Amino acid sequence: MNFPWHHDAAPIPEDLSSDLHAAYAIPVPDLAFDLRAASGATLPLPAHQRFTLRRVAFATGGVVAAAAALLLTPVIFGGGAKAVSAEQIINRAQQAAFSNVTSNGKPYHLVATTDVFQKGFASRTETWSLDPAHTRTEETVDSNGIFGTSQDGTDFWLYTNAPAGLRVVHVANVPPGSLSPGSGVPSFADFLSQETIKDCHFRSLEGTQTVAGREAYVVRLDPDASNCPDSMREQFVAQGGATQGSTRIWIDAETSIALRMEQVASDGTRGYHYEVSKFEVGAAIDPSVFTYRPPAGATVIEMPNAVYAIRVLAVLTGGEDLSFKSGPPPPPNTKTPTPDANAKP
Amino acid sequence: MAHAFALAEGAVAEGDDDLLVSSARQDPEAFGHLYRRHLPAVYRYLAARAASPEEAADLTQHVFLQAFRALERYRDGTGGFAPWLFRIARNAATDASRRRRPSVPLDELVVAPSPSPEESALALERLRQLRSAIRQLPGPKQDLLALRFAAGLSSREIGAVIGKSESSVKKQLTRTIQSLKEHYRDELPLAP
Repeated sequence: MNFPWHHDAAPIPEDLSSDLHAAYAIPVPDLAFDLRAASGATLPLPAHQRFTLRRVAFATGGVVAAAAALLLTPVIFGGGAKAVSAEQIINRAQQAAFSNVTSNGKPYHLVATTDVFQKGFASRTETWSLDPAHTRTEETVDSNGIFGTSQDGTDFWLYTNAPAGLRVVHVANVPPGSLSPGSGVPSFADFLSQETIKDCHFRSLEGTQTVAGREAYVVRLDPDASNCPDSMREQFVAQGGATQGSTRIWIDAETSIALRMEQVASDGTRGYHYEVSKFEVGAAIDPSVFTYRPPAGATVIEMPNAVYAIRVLAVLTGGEDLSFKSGPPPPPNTKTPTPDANAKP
Repeated sequence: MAHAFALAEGAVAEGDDDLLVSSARQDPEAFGHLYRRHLPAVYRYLAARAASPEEAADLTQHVFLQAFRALERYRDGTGGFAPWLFRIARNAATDASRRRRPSVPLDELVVAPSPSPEESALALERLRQLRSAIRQLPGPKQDLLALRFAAGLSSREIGAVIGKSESSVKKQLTRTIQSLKEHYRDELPLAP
């Protein structure tokens, strides 16, 4: 079974260079430079206004952009509706994925399947989201292993039933906004962000299709070595001299939630496929969904913060051992809940 | 389609900043080439030093505006356009930091730690620890790392930005990364 934490313990690299490159791999927004403001004596526009400006057509760049716009005719949607670029769509999708909230702020319930063909495993994911502080995601791997995270505005839970019984990590009284996206938990948002790194991919908009009954933009990503940092080139552009294949992402036009993602290697081999089969936007969600109740017999580890939660869970499930060299988090407090608790919402 | 656009954008070779500056002096719209070429590095550097992505966006606009207006004062052969631009960026970031309490919100920035979701958990945690260690470094060392890893400048270019020799920058970078490595090792939970 391939659980997220079942891989070799991440060693501290002798050379921090690649980690430092990754730490500073900051996505660059599509910022326009206001030449009129630059040419005149006026101050630059506030950011929220500038983001709405069309990119200024510079000499050669303007001609090329115009030609690109003609070639990218599918960019124009909805019978004269405003144009949307692949760049904007990807950026919105990343924001939605990381915040677990749709771009129009509506709650949602989602069911998806993932196939990782190269590693031979499949999973089913169910997500409930009310707002950034009320989310729950439960992934069932290879039909029987469960890995879930839940937060109800104050408490955070991380739980799994594999490989030796239910293990739960609980963080109480999480200050609002203190849980950064992911919080040590691998997510589709992480995958989306790393597969869409601007400098390592050409992004193009291919049109729209219907997925799970919803209109979705289809964005294609192709490896691009021209600006990709050396430290990432091997990972995203070419491996062993072979150019990596393309990725397509289908992104819901209304909410910016990714509905499908498919990676195909340069030789046509399928690598990864994510597909949403059920997507309810504006769904009424019972708030109790977000409060996880460990069942009787589960081992519950109380942690002071979520940073180490995934690592503690890894130890509990046999993925690796822990050895805090210095400055460890306070020792976890293990307890067993009362027998009448419920496991699932 | 996107490829064609990218080729046209990259038609001017990397070392031709001075040519572009000359063009921009004659035709302000040519400044767009310089903007597109240097926007990613400038934004990343400023985002590493700003309090929020919004502030980084505002500072980026401010820096290019300053550069555009000061283009007549730029002189070839004084270290290159990039160091000149980053001196403006560094001053802007320093001025901005004086107006608020120091804060480097690297934790809020999206990164790409590993090739697939099932392999990302520990890598994410490792990066969070690394960012935490970076935040604990003195400001000048954080600046040095941002110039190297966010802006992608060479030691020579960094030297031109901060007024030090190339060899001095190399030594400082080595020491900074070494101290970071020691701190990083101490803070992270290690496998036995």
